[in-house]
Amino acid sequence: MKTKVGVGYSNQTDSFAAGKEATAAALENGGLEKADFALIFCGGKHNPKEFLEGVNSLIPTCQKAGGTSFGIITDSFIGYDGFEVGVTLFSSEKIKFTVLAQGNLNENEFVAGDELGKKIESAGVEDLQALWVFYDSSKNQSPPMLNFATPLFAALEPHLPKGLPCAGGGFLADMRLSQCYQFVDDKIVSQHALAILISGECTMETTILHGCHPCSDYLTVTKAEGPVVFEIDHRPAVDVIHELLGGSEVVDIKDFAMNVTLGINRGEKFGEFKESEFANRLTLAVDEPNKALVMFEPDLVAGSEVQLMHRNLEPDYLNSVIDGVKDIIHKLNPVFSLYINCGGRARPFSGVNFEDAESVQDAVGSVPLAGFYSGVEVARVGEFLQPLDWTGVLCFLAEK
Amino acid sequence: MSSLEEKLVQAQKEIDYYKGRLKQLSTSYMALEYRTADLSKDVLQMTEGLKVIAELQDVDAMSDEDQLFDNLAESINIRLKMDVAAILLPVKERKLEFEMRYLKGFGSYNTEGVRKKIIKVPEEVYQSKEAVLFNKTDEKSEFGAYLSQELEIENLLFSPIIHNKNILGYFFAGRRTQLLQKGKGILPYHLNIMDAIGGVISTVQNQLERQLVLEQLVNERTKELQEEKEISENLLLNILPFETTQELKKNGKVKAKDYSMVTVLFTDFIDFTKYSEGMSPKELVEQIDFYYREMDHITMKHGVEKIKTIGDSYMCAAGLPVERDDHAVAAVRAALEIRDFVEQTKERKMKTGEPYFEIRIGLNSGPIVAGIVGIKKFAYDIWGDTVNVASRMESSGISGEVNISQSTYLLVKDLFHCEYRGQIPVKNKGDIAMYLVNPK
Repeated sequence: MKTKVGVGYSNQTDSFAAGKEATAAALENGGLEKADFALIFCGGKHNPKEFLEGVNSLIPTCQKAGGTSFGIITDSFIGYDGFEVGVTLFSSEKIKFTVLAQGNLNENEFVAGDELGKKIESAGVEDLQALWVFYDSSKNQSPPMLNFATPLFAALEPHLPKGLPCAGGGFLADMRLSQCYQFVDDKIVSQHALAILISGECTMETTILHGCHPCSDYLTVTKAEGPVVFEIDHRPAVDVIHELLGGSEVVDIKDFAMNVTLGINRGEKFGEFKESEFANRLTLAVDEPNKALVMFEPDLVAGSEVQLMHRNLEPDYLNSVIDGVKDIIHKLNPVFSLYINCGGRARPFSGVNFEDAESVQDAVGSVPLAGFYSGVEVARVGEFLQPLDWTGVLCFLAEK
Repeated sequence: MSSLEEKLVQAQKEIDYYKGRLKQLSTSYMALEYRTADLSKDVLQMTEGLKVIAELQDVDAMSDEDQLFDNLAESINIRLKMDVAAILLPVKERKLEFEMRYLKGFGSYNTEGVRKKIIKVPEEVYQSKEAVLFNKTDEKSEFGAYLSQELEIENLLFSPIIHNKNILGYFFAGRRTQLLQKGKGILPYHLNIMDAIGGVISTVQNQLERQLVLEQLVNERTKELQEEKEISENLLLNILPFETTQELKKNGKVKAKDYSMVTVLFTDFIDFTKYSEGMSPKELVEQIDFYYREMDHITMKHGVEKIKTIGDSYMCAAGLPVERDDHAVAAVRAALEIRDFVEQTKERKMKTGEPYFEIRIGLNSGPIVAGIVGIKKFAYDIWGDTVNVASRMESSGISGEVNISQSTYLLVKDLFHCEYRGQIPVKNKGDIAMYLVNPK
């Protein structure tokens, strides 16, 4: 029997009612009487316990995985007010989901990634075909800090079969790094990374979309510590970017935060531009006294070659990606699509006049779609798993 | 320099030129886009805020106030992407103190703790009717800092809801500093939106007040109408039996109804014409009124329905409009009491030398038809030979006695002392058996 997938959502402010409503909708939309696996996302303003109770009121024994997200995406709904919840239910004889979790992410992301990788190896899942990895983006400390994806995935990657299709994202409760929760069956945890191993007669393809183009020469990071880039080409990083953007008469360095995007080309250095080969790194803040850029991730180390990226604020850049998506759908006949979209790309936070997730909804057509707005997105860029900023990661799951 | 080197230098110069142009174009465009994007974010969020106002379009004086304010606080929280929103209303009999109502805080916000807080507004802030917009990073307002501490939020606005130049309460909306966005807390446009919402509430309040005035007027008019109605109904009850008034109200008309057995009673003052000649019309009416009032009491007491008076003749019947088996007994009892009243009055008036009446009373039992005729000054009346015979019983009666027919006699003979008078000739009826009835 073909895999059945149902997606439901709710934006009620009552957490229990929202969980129940979304689950009921998923059961109905998928034509399901029971579910084997549930992917659940819960808005950051909700009470996660009550939300889970709402879900469990309808599917108490179903295996579950998910977490807090400040917005959700489904076939017919996009929301990011903090009260949105999404439930995706799978019933399949061919596709199997195995959920593994590793805590203590806030203590050491690398160690957590390594431990999670070992658990994946130990699980000995046969016919492992794909992997989703979701993690808690917020360290939940004062002052607030992000959990970095770079060391997490750097440690995880060696434990994975080479080239295993993989996609992921960081859970975010809101834009101020409030406490975030993860769901593992009936447990509610924090500071965890979840691995959802997808096995059986299935396949997964992933594409990324960000619409950014390089608009500068290659620049070399010459001094960096963690996520802070101090120097580019042996000059203060802020001065270099300021000069590139036309100086103080044209742009205020305060505008760099959440705007200046540096791209790493994982493809051929002077080859034809391919969007999918660029990993973007967004500036989180400007350290004015040190004339440094504070990035979302600590992967711009000394020696990294980057380019200043121009963000396309018009929807036309999506056309080529959508064409690719249609080709994938035609080729795979997928049963499900998952869209992990950067929270900053949501309309009210990006300043663009279109909602890229709407284009994704149109492109996937009748394929059930679920997704969430994330802090950092993860996909393979080139050979390696790469944390990404300002990016949407769209993956399709199909039966073989 | 060789020709090849010259070509290379020229090519490099061209490359640098075009790179420079391209850089200038793209980077200046990017700087512009950064600012455009930031402006767009504000516009988009402002649009969301305007949706709160749009959601109020259906609100009017008929809306449930609690529901309205509850939804409004939630909408402000969600649409304006706040962490908390509330409406504060004055604490009763405590000037300048406001309590939390309709508080909507979610997630980790200390909703229950803040719900109990009373906010004391300084006199000068209250009088100024100005809003307070406080962002922790750039504000030094003392009251703003107090609000921030009491309401447990870093950035906030506290905006008066003004109606007819008075402060009805305050809007409060708060937002924690957004770390993953540029550090913006509360913006001036949030205040504009609150002002607009306050305007809508004031309009609703106006409607509410007008409605209250209207309701008061309606209540007064309704009360007047009710009083008028009661008077009308009492008047109607004076001329029609209760059951008939109900039928008349329900159907607008009353069907004539057959009664198989009732007892009809007639009275007549003897020598009325003679007495009336010696009195002024006013005195005459007063005298009749005196007797008829008492007779009304007596008939009511015995459940006998007054039909009408014709000059000095009083006509009533027992067994209608609600049929009863003891109609004859009730009518005889009423007749005897009327007779006794008139006799006692006669004795009293004789002593004082006042004019007095003597009475004849006649009763007959049998079938009749009852109903209302006409459309003006309508009156409940009864028809049938039984009525005519009852009238003859009266006219053939004896002063100070109650004269009953054979049919009535048969119904009361066991309870009363009945004296047979014999077959007495009656005009157009031949000889009719008559009895004088008295208590045993």
